[in-house]
Amino acid sequence: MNNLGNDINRLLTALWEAVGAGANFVELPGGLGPYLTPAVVDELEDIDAALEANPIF
Amino acid sequence: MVRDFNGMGSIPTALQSFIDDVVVMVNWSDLEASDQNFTGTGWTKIDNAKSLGTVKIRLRIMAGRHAPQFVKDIGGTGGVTVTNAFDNVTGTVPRWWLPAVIAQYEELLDEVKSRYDNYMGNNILIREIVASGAMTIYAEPFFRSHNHGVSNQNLIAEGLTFADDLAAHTDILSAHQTKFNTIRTSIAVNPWEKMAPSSPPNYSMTSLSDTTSFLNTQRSSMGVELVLQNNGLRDTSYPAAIGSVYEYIEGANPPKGFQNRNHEQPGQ
Repeated sequence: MNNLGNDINRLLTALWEAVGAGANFVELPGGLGPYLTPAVVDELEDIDAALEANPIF
Repeated sequence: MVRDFNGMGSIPTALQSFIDDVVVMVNWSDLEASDQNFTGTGWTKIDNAKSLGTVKIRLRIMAGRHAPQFVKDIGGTGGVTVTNAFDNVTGTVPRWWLPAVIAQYEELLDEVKSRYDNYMGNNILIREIVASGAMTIYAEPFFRSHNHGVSNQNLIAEGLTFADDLAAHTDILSAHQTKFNTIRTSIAVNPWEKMAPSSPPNYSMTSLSDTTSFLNTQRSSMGVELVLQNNGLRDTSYPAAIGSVYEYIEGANPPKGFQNRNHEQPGQ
């Protein structure tokens, strides 16, 4: 992934915005492996928990 | 949460506890080698995702430039050349608005249904299928070329009108609804790029209101079986501007979801 820099933070921001818009799900880009620090994983889990508050069924 | 799978391998361990679905993106040409010959590597890609266990599949079949050649040859030799002005990706696409092309798309859906019918109902494997029959370059079927004048002239020369486009979208969603009672249909929401033969240099105009009017009508019959999605989320999408795609989706009833704009540049 070129040009990522600190953009994992921008991704997380965008995902939170999706949650705020009432999304039932979000698609994560592939290739995130190298950016999955414990802090990032924790935040993704928080996002997932928020998404679960808007179940799709 | 969903992860783009696309045949890239297993889900990273750190994500496994909260990934419910994977997106499997396959080319139509990799599912149907020739008319009624449903062979190709696309089926293997779907089956590989099945091996992930409990996760469900959101199936994204790429029609448009990834349709088989025999489909592109319907209504004329070869497809219609379209360039996406956004990224200059060029391909030849079928005349998707012709009933004979839509009939081929429906036959593909029939094959998908026949292969995975055992996984429907309470044991759903494929949770959702993207309505991509009217796509050109990407599975965002309200876009045509991002206002690429030459491409739109090509489409107009082949006979495309907004009435044709509207009818094609209607028929495609009707086919999904009819065939997949327990598998939802997803469609990417964007302003409709309508052909405008008298409007050089782009020969098109964009209209979000036509998209939303169409989708509201479809949802009145499909209800929660029609998932609204936008594939262009970025960290500057919000607060949603009045009259924007995001405002529409934010105000729409569920189910709905988002995808980041660029797989190579998360967050951008």
